[in-house]
Amino acid sequence: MNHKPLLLPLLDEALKRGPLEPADVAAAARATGLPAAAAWEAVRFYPRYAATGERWLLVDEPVVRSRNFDSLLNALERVALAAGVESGTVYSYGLEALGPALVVEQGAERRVYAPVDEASLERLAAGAEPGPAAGLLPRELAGGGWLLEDPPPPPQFPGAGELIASARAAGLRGLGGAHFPVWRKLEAVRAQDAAEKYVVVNGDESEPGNFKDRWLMEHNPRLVWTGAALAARAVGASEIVFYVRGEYEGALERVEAARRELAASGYLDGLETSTFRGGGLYICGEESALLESIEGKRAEPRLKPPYPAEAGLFGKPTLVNNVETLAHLALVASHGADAYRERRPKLFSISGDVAKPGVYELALGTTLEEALAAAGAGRARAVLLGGAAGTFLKLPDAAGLPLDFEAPRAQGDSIGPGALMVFDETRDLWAVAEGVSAFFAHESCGKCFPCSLGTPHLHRLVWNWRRGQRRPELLHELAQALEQGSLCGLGQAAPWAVRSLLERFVEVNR
Amino acid sequence: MSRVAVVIDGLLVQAEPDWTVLEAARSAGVEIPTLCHHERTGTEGICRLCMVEVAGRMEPACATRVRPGMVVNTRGAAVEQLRRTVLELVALETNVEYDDELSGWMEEYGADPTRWGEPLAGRRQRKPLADNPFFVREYDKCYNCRRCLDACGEGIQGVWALAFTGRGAEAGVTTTFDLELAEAGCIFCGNCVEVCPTGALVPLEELRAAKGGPS
Amino acid sequence: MTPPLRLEPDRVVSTVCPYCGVGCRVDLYVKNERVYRVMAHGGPPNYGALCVKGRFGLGFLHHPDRLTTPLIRRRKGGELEPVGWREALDFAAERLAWVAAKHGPDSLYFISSAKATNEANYLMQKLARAAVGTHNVDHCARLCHSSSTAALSRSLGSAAMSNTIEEIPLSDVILVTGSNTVETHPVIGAMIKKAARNGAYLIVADPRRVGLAESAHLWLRLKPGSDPVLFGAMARWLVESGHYDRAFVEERAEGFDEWWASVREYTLEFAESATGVPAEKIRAAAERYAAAGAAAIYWAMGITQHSHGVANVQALVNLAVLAGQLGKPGSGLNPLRGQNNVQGAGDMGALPNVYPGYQPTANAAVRERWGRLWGTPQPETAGITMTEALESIGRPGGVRAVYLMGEDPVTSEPYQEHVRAALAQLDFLVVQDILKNETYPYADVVLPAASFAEKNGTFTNTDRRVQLLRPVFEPPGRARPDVWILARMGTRLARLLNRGSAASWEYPNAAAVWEEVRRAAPEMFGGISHARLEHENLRWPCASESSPGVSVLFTDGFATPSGRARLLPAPWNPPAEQPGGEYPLLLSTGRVLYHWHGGALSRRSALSEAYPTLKVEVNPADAERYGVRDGAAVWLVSRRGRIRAVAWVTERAPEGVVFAPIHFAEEAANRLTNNAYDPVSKIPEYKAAAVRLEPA
Ligand SMILES: Cc1cc2nc3c(=O)[nH]c(=O)nc-3n(C[C@H](O)[C@H](O)[C@H](O)COP(=O)(O)O)c2cc1C
Ligand code: SF4
Ligand code: SF4
Ligand code: SF4
Ligand code: FES
Repeated sequence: MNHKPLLLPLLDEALKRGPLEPADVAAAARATGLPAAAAWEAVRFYPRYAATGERWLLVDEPVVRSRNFDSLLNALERVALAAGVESGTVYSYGLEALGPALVVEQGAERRVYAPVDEASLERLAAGAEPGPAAGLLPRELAGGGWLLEDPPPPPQFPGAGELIASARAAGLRGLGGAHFPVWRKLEAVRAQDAAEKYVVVNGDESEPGNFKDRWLMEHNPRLVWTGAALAARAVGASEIVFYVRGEYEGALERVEAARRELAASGYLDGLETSTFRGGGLYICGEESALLESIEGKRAEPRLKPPYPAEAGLFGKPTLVNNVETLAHLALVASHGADAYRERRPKLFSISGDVAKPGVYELALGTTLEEALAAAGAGRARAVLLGGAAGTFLKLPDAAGLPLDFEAPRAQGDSIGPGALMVFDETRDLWAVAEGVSAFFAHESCGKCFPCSLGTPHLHRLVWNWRRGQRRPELLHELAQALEQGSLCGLGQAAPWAVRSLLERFVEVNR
Repeated sequence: MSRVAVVIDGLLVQAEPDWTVLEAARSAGVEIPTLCHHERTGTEGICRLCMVEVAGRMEPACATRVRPGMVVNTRGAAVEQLRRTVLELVALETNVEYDDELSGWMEEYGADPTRWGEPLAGRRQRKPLADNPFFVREYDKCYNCRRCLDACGEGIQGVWALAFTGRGAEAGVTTTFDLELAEAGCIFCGNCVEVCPTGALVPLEELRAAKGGPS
Repeated sequence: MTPPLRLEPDRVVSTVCPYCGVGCRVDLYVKNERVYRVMAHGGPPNYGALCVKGRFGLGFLHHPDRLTTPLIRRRKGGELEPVGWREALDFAAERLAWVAAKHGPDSLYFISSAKATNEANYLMQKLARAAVGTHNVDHCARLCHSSSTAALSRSLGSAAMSNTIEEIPLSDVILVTGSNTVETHPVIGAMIKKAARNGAYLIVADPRRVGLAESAHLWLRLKPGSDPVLFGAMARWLVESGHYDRAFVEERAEGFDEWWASVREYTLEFAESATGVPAEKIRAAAERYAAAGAAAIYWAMGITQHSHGVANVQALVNLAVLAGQLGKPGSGLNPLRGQNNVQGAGDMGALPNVYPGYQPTANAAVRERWGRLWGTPQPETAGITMTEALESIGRPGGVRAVYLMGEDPVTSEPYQEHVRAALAQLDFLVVQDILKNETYPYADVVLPAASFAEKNGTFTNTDRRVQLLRPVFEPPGRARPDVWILARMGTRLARLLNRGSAASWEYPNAAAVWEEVRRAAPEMFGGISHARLEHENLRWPCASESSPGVSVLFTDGFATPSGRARLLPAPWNPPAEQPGGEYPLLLSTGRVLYHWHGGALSRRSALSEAYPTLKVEVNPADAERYGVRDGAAVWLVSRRGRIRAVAWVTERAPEGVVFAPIHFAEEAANRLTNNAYDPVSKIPEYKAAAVRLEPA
């Protein structure tokens, strides 16, 4: 390791002994070389360091918002009050495909159950298991496909030039949401003249409606490590940090197990590797905020430029790629660019009003209609595409939309990381929008003014809208300010879903 | 090094290569409003009031370096509307009565915070903190520009007595371990007071004098 | 940009902070004749930053202890009574003249002030040399940097910082030693810390874990008093390993062989045993320092206030010369001057051996010149230093009358009891000050002076920047600016002693005094005028009106007769008093952030609320050994006295060493210190006295 020990793991160690004391934080700060103030900022930023006692938390995500969120929350509050336990909500656990989920928090420990209903809450109150434990996604949630089957043996490193050329020929793009050409980023990091470089695997996946990275980390982590190792060799990095979303206990274990296994096989020789428990907030997935959080600071996005490829982790050139992206890179290396191009595989997380919610490997360019059919959608009226940072598509208008990088973008949408949340005509889309806007207000990091101040106002405007008090001009102005003024993608995307609803679903706005 | 030619609001500006758009604009007499930026502390890119249009995209003038051939529009309808919204939200949530500069811009941009209804962030409810013989912290007046944090830490002092806490609209300034300033390592240089644009940090002596009568 | 104010100021006046030698520019916000806010002025030297003293420590301006009317004591044992200015000045002048006539001019002693303006310092030494005819004038730099002055002058020919504050970010390596910079020069301390964060390699050589040690890449915790060995060994290693700058030494230095012979023994191993610093670290420090593109050394009283202070500084000079780290931007030797105008007081010749502009009194031609300028013959007898002067009181041929301006020897001099006794024996004592101080009870005449905020004039900061003061208020009561008082005293003494013309003492204002300084030392100050200072940043040397002054000294030569830097042996001798037996601990004294000097100003402001009582730093191991608890009252006892303090148990102090600040007159640390002096600079040994701790 070319850097000092990392703060969050030290704090997590201390947390195992009980609630954090200033002395623990000061000691951790000293070990990391951070000012105590920075360590304290981290403690006051990441939710898990504030956790005390027992809390019962309903998972708040768009699908449950479209269904029985209000009544479940009411019921939870009722039973919790009676039991004298604190209650509340937490955002999306990547369990949209399983149904409503409940988290029982005991200090730093969390148990997760899904699906749950009101009867589950009664069981919880009675001291019984409220429902099926959901520590891992069921493997069967995914059908077949290159990414979803047992991975091929890890390929030989073909050489940097060769690997980057294949990624380019394969047309591989970043699959964390922004779709940046992979070869360009590889090339950019490789071109940096630096003794130390890093590869960081972005497994933070907190975008509501997405769970394909979770599935990969839980059921196919070796493929991801393989891709990361290839990328590291290609760019000349000597260390890989695999950043796994903090709440994904199962994924953390499996990713770490795969790392050990692969290391034991010698495939990671010459590379420093580690699994990092993420900060547990949506913003941690933004690449520069993620780097800040590895460095032990508040996960706040950095101003760009410089981009991570020039000055990333600890100021060193860093390749940050999504979990799925790196899995694809491994496949490109194994199968060759031509075979890959023929398939153009992409994972989609499909949930909501479909018969078989789950992870689907579909070819890029599959139409929305075909995708919905694969998952068994009935009379879908709307799809929230991409995630909370996504847009509502209207059916049947959008049925023929090819799900690829370009076509949705041409009309102001994006597949993002690949979420399709499906709603039939019985669902209240404004309830979904309200949930989404609450999510952004909650997840705003607090750095820039438009987002930190604007997201709660957006939520209030949507909340009022749903209850008949409509201020379209304010909503519009605020959407503009958020989109154009915010520092990072979080604030910029916050108004998208609401705005698409306003524009495309004129009838529900009346 | 040779200068970089940029066009700002139609004016050709010969900028030093390490200048920001803000510096280039100022050198040409073009005023761009700023809240968070401070030369000494290095604070930048936070308030987003200084956003300008560059090739159809918004960029913060205080944190964007000039690039050859750059064409910058510092006014424009979109820019003005963005500034107005930001000013309105800031003034709605924060007690900005002593920030004359901000008030001036509110007027210039026709900002009317009351359009947004009641404040949401709870800032205005914060109580003054008087834990030392030198200055008082009145965080109802703080809009999180972070100049004080940078003055105390990286930018000037290297002391890090101040820390940022919380997230989103609830975020704000505290001290290390939430201690009283002296315990947090503060050396009372007052450089945070110096750079605070809102009067949230105010010398005790000034408060006393304002209340009438000497200490 | 105007700050967010609760209160419209009646006026905002831009002037210079009265505290330390950084010389921060400040803007004072005034309402109803009180300062209610202090803002940094922006630009050099402080670039928008201040420390607690300048920012919040100006309450003394409005303190009830301000002197507002002249007082005289008509006979010994009587009361001080208020009188008008004419009577006070006549009374003082007549007595001084009488003593001079009866016992000779050298029975008078003039103590000038590093807190006073350049103009006041100039007049003070003129009072001694022209009106009275003695070189008996000095100021308290004796107590601070006379070791630096001595070593730098003889080796390099100039005794100021050779780099500027602006150059701090240009150094690749910064070596700080014997300076708790973050507390004593906080604004520079912060700049050094920032430079270290931005990639400069920071080496701190200090026994105490002072603020900068925490930020240092390499901390050399040497045993107190072992400095010459440490720096000698670094230099020796550079030569031995071939890492020294051979070309620089051959072309620009002299005295190598003699120096080399003097460091023969200082191998890394020997240094390790003598200094307690591992040989590996000494070697690393030396190599880093020498290999840097630009490396600067900063030091303060921890180096100078030793009975071997000159040797300490000499060792630093030798190191810099051998490494060729001189005369480049960011590369040089930088004594950090303590008080706001300690640089200026020296520049103005408030020293027994030099006229303004460091022109030596020993040189007959120089004396000739000044005699012509002032129209009165100049004394040949050398002056004595302030420490020697105080020692001489009561002895045959000793000093009998003292004129004291802005100084408080009771708190600042070593061995306090001795000083009190000496003052009581004087025939006559004039105290000119802004506040009542500890010396005031011994005065026969008290002359109330205007503070920095009530007068015109200039201060010269630690990096040779001459800065203009601007009056903010009228002086309180009948207080008057030093220049006003001294000019009138000069007129009277000149007439009474019949030396020179009374007309040569007519100065309409401070600017007129400065014009005389310009004429008298044109190479240094010829280009600097009050008018230019209104809108320009100027530093000396500045010979012409078109020059901004020179930033980096020694770029193409040294101010020595040969133009070469002189290497000189820097012999190591342990502190004069060694701990042991009944006094097992070594006492080091010094300054803390919240106070300044004798505490006269800082303790009459809000600063005393932040640091109300004397705290003595004790290492935890010593605390354990001597049964002292953190926060408990203790006695600190030396062979010369005892003081009461509160124990602060902290790792800042190394084992075996306690540290006490000097700012508390009633429990003056200087009551304990040893009156051992450096043989050359006569600086007192404040940094090493043997003491013990007793629970109180
Ligand atoms: C608010 C926000 C959250 C994000 N969350 C994630 C995430 O959880 N996982 C991810 O891979 N990318 C996320 N991203 C995108 C990353 O910033 C970055 O683009 C991505 O990690 C790059 O990898 P890729 O090129 O392989 O997609 C997020 C971006 C934003 C603005
Ligand atoms: S847009 Fe929101 S999340 Fe992003 S930096 Fe600004 S406050 Fe933080
Ligand atoms: S006064 Fe204290 S909090 Fe403010 S900048 Fe100085 S050290 Fe930091
Ligand atoms: S206290 Fe002042 S300087 Fe600090 S963040 Fe708030 S408004 Fe900015
Ligand atoms: S002034 Fe540029 S973002 Fe605040």
